Amino acid sequence: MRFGSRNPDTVEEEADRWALRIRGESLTDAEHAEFLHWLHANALHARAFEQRCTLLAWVCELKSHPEFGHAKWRTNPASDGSRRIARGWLIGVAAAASIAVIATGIAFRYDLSPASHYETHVGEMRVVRLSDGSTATLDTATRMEWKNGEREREVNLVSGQALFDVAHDPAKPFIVHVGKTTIRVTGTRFDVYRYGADDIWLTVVQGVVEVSGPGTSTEAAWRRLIHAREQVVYRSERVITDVHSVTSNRALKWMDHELDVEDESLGDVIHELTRYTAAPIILQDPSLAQIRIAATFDLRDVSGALTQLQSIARVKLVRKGASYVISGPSDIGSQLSPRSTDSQQ
Amino acid sequence: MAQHDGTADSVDRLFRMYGPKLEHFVAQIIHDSEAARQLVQDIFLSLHQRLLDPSARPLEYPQAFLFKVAHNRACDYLRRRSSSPLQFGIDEERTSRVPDPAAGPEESALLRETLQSISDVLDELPENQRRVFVLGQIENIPRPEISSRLSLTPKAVDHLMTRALKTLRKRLRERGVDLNALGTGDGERGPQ
Repeated sequence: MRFGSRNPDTVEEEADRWALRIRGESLTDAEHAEFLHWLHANALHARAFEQRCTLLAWVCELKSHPEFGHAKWRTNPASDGSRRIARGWLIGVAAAASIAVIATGIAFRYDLSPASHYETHVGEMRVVRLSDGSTATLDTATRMEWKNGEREREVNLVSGQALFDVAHDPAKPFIVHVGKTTIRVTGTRFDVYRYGADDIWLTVVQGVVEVSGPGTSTEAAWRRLIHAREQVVYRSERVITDVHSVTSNRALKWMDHELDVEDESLGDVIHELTRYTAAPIILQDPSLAQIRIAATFDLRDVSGALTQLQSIARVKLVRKGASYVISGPSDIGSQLSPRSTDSQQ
Repeated sequence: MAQHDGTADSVDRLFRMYGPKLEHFVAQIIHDSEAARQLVQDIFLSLHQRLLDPSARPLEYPQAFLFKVAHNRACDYLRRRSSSPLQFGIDEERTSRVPDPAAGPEESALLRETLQSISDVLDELPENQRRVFVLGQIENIPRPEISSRLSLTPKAVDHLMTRALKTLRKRLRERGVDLNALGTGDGERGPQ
């Protein structure tokens, strides 16, 4: 009141509009700035906004409520007698319901079970709360064992990829075994990815991590110290790509169900996509693997990503039984130079 | 132990049902999807701890409760980040504590009545407003799809949606439903 000079009607209507927009499509940076400006402008705005949010939350409650979920307003055919619209609406509800089911299958799972074996299916992503307060976010097809011992906290990453948020405890180091290598920390955030049978990608987001090859802790074959925003690629016997800085959090894009590729070969992209689908992806001509790709893919929709590849890499995609088969287009196949970058950004 | 597992199960189920929606909601308010993810995780963690309390009753209106808490946590987050922490009109204590999700019997009856009122008022909405509003707010159909399904321009969809919310508020007020006092069975009311 003391702040704005707006009349109450306008405030009420603005609050309606903002509450609906917040629940709708994603705001742009500019729109969000405008929202914050409005919200901060006057205590009345914040109150009115809260009121709408509360009301809309209650409206959502209706649908799943055993008593009101089937109320008249849901199936009430158009009172103007338009059957066409009434039917379209029922079909829409059915479609929305099946989408929701698919979506929950790949949504984050929140797990508090005391079991010490954790596993995700192909396409699943899951957040595991470990008994020491740390969390591990497991990506697709990942297996992990956990033991909260007397003197050490131990994880064995059998396969896949996991992001660890380690609860700080200097007295009890947190150790991740990957094959014959060992990662040792006290409290930090880092991502480990077992690429294929041998390669291990370690990306540190916060804090410091020590990684060492086979051997005792004092006489390891090799040893590296990785700081925040650094990455190292190694196998058990040696380091493959030594410690280097990573500018973005690209290694963590999988958490947003994204595969962000700047300049990688089709072969590598297919290798990544294969982790997120049970269907084999076959490259008919091995030379196609050399095509360079730059794109962003949605890991929840591998089939869509492959369709996207058709135009990006100028390849042909055919579904054969349970597999996807990728071939060069027959008419330009012979001209296809393996190194050409045909990304359409 | 059995109770522990049951609690984890139900929290897990709630997380799967509402987690992504809450994350979107919080991310929209604070415009930071990573922080939104953390805030929503925290909400479920506190909910889990809360429900482990043997005296806690089941969560009767989980969606309303979760969105209410999410709103408070999001605004709390903005307030902490904001250089001008003045204008939220929300006192510290109210937003930072985790409310009791279990409603007492009296409160529960009141909330049920509220839900009944909302359902009735929805039913009375003018046809075009009701259709747009139910599709968008209850069935979560995106705006472009509503617009193609009902053969309306996106602008008309927005207009009808806003009109519907306004009408809903007005009719609820006429029926004596006080939106300021609309809690979630958690005692988390606005300051009087």
